[in-house]
Amino acid sequence: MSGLDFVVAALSPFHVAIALAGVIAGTVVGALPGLTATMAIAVLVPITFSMDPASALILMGAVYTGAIYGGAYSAILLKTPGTPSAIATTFDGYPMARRGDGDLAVTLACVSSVFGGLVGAAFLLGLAPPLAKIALAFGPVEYFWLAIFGLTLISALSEGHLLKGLIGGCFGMLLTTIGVASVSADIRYTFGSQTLIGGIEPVAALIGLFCVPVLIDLVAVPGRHLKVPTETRGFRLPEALSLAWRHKFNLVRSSVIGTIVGILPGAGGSIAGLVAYSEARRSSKRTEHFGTGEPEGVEASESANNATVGGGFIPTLVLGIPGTPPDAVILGALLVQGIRTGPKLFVGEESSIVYIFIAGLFIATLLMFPTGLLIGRYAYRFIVTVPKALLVPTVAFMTIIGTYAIRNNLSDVVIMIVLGVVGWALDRCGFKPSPIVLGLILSRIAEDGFVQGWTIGTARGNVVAEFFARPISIGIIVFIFVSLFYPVIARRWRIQQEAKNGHET
Amino acid sequence: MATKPERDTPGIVLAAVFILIGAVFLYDSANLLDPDSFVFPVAICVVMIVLSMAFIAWNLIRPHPDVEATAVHGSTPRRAGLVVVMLASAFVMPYVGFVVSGLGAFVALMLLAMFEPWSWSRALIYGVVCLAVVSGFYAVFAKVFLVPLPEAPFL
Repeated sequence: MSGLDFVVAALSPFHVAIALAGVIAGTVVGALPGLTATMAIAVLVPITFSMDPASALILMGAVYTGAIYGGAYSAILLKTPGTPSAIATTFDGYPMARRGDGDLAVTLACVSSVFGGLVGAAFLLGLAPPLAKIALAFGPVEYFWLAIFGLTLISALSEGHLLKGLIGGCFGMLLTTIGVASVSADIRYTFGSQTLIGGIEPVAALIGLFCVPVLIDLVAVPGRHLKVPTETRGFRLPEALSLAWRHKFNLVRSSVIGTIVGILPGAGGSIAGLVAYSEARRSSKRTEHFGTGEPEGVEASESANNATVGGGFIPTLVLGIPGTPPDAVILGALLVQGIRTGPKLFVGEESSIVYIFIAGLFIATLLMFPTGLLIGRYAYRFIVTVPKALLVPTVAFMTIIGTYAIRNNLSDVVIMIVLGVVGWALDRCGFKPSPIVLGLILSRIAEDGFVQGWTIGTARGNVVAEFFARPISIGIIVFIFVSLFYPVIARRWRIQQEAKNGHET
Repeated sequence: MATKPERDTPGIVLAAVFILIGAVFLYDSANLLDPDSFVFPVAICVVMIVLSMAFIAWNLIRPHPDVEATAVHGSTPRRAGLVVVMLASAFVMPYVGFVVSGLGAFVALMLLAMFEPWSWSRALIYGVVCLAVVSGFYAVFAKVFLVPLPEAPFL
């Protein structure tokens, strides 16, 4: 089969229909806090057994890409990331919605997600076998530094109060250590409580820290949740496309970051979004506007997290190592279908399956554009117009059922509500929830990497070299320092330049 | 006129609470024997305590001109009511089942979040929406995603 034949096969009415259905279903699932792409794909697996492998892959890929995008809706409109991948979207998406630009933020998220998804799929198509080697080059120490790189975002999210942000980040990291230690399996810091043995589920904590404070404030005052636009403004697509074009380098850079992070097993969309957001903020001319409703922040997060879809398939299909949790479920479904993953999958007899799937992934991502715009518009209109007496119970109900569904555990619901109250109180005293959430999300990766790196370093007799002398680690450490200090240096340089220009005039 | 610098008292109190939390975690770390279990959390505790002490010292030595604690507007009883209803819903769920606790919580939160006068037509419409939302979510989670939602023991 030639390249065109794969596209024609992917464009069969059946494939287009399942891609469309998958994208819509995925978007709705992703928008509901607590329901993840992994869960949606796992539910689909038995259905795919009756399909041919290419169709099954297209359906699961479409659900996956739709779910990652769907997380942006609740992140923008409710300040609750529908999926952990959309954490960084809340930082600027929600402030945009609060000031009356929710429709623009949703459209911008759609445009960025489609762009990121296409870039990830393009890398999967053109560079999968060589890029898969990146996954093998990353050891525990590199993961540790990558998590620390994500944590440098705390400096950006602390709104001028770095100490409070850092304390909040430490608190979040400490919360993650409660329960069973992932490396040694010791039970830690439960203080005799049965409820805490299972630990604090990051997604439940995320819902609690972000959504419950919004509900607490929403129920207390009679005003509307979001600013209602005075006139009908449609999708605001030309505005979103114009912004995307103006920030094209940000989109490309974030999509490449998303693809590379997606290749790294276990890293996932949340880290991709955070790292891309951090880089976007560092390199932007409007650094000080990040966190207050800057469109570049939404573009960075959304393009990066959707690029992880294509990126994650690279180690999954080439090495048989799933890049992200949904990839692990898809890999399982492929094995049941009798597909053997490996480099030969791209050149052997079964290559047609992979190439039809990649063509299908392109089609699903393109279909996300009209469906995403439509669903986004209705979601925005619903949130803006629904009476508060219905909005509050509906969102509260969603948080309860969504949190319960993560591990079928009511303790998670109680922890979620308690953390929400703690987050609300801390916010009143200037300790923002974002650094706490960053600590919660990144701590597990950081601890695993740190402990494993420490053990390997001790066995080799040189812990310092293990952490500081590996080429990729050095590269990430350089980025960490640049990310931390570049804004300060750039600001001083700008002030000096302005003073110099002032003297000259 | 320049505002007189004030101490961030709520921030100082919370920093002291974080020091206490760190100390409790450090104390509990003494029970852990495997270094793999305690090396990371101990490091985090120490950093958190040092940062909190630095925050307190900074505020005592150089009070910040703009204390950033956010003022609380709106009804505190409604706020407390929301938290109580959500917690109560979680606690009674094993005894009355998901549907009953969900309906109860939905109605209670609807009453808490209502700022306009009730009318018969509004009550009817909101009641129908309440039933639709709870049964809709129940159907999606229990029947499609096969989540084992708590059932009422008496049903």
